[in-house]
Amino acid sequence: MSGAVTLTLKDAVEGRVVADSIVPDRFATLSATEIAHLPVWLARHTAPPALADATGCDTGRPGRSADHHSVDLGDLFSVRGERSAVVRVQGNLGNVDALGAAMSGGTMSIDGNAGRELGRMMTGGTIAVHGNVGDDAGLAMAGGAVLVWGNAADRVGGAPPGASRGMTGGEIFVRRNVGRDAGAAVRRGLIVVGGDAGDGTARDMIAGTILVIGKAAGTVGMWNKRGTVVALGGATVPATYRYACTYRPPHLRLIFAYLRRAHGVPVDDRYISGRYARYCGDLSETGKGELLLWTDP
Amino acid sequence: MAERPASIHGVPVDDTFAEAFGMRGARVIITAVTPRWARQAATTMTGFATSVIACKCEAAIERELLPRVTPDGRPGISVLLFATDSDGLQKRLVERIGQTVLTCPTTACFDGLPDSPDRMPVGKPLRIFGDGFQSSKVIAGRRYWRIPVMEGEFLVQEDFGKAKGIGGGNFLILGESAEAALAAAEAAVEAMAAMPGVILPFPGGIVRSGSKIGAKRYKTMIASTNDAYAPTIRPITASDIGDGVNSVLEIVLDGLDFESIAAAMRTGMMAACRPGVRRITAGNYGGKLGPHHFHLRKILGGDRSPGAEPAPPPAVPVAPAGSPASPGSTP
Repeated sequence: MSGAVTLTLKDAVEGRVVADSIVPDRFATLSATEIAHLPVWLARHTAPPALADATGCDTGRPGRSADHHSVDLGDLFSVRGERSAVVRVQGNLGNVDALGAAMSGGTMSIDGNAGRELGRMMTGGTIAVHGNVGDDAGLAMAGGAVLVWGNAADRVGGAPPGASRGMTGGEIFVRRNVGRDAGAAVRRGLIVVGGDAGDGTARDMIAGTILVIGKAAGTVGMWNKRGTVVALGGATVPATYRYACTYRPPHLRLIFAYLRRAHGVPVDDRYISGRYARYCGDLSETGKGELLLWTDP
Repeated sequence: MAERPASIHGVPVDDTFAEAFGMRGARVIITAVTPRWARQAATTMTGFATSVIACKCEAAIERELLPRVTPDGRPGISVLLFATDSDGLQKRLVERIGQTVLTCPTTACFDGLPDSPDRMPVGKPLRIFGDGFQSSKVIAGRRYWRIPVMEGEFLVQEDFGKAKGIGGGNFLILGESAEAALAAAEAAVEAMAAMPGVILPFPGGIVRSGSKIGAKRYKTMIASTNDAYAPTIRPITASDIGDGVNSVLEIVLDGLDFESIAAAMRTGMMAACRPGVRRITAGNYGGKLGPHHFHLRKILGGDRSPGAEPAPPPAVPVAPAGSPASPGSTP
């Protein structure tokens, strides 16, 4: 057993790679050889045949066929260490998807960017990304924590296509900005955005909490049922929300205290002790959701 | 073996033991906008909670907490509450938090035993005061209820930890005068103040009416005056106070574990042994009341009494941990 398993990308890979076998708790029982023989999927081409047919793409053209095939993880990554749930991944992983998918424990540190569906359906453990992540980070996750030091693209903590629920537990921290539809259909859990959030934040949210330290752009909290959206940098209040009062929400103090102590998030005192305007909504749903806008120091 | 002094500062300490019994305990962290309001809620919550004999529970303020150690970063008070069984403990907590903390301006209420695996619902039954408008938040793996109230919102943790505790640790201060006994008892209480894991549930930490089990004359009485230490009837009862003693006061302690009570008793007895005090002793019932025996001289010698004491429960963290722990499992 070693202290950690380190995976280093050997060469840049063309097209997308689905690396859902890179899961710390799975590595905990595997030797270096066994890790190196785990499959990763190369998806050189983005359109599967049915979709290509429907859209009129020429699937017979080189580079347009459904060409998914697996290779050994060891073909793409050098493997150092074994039998450890502490994993470090190095290299430009911007096109490597599904890292930490369904992980239930351990820690994974990614030195650089990560691709789509990071921590997809994970239930435990921690993933830390020292760069940016692609779409669908924390997709339908149920537990654990995802920490992103850069930006995250669209649908953070969202739901898989066709699913009614997104994230059902756990925590996602993005130090900088997130794209569209952050927290869409979230059922439970905490999403913290250190910067700004794009259009559609908390769309169709069921419950849970989304805290945007910057500005939440565009529409926010549409069709929100019982969720909490906190926007410290302001947001446009939808027409289907109604102002309730301005007060100091006690649970926000708890969240801020937790963020400071457990994650070192630098929350300014004025947000902790400040007052918030509470808007109830979405009144086209149950109206039990809320939008909390920081109003003064 | 540690020295077992027969006297402290010239005050004799009897070679006897305080007899205590098992209880179930909880630690409640009350926070508020200012220390004043946190203390107000805690004082109200712990009112009429001196003895399980008639109050159904024993409770008192354990200590004040600085904002940096409370879950929500506000000034806080730690309260310990004990009852004879788990059912009673949960009922008393729900009653008292519901009537005295929920009603107090600006307060919030948290579990002070977050690591205890033995849990009981407290915020959960209280939430229905919200009449359907309540909502919950899971923060770091723990659920909190937000109950809308006229002032704003009351935040209370869904479940609280409980622990096996000990009730009835005690020592008696036999003074030459009422003034001397009171001054010694006050010194003891002051020395024991804020010692972790222990409370003194009686008024100001002092009991002037120590009791014996049952009564000689009234069969329905659960407890009656401890005539052996009542100076005014010394000639007409089997008195144990001796010449020169004109007033006796008792310090009663409840705690979360044996060590905490023993440490507090040691501190208190050391402070109580001062001019005007004739003797220090303790109340026991020949070992019939409870399994926890605090031998005064052993305690003063810094020694536990392993033969008489069952294995103590696992140590409970004193600080209420704002508790966050690891991501996904924190407060």
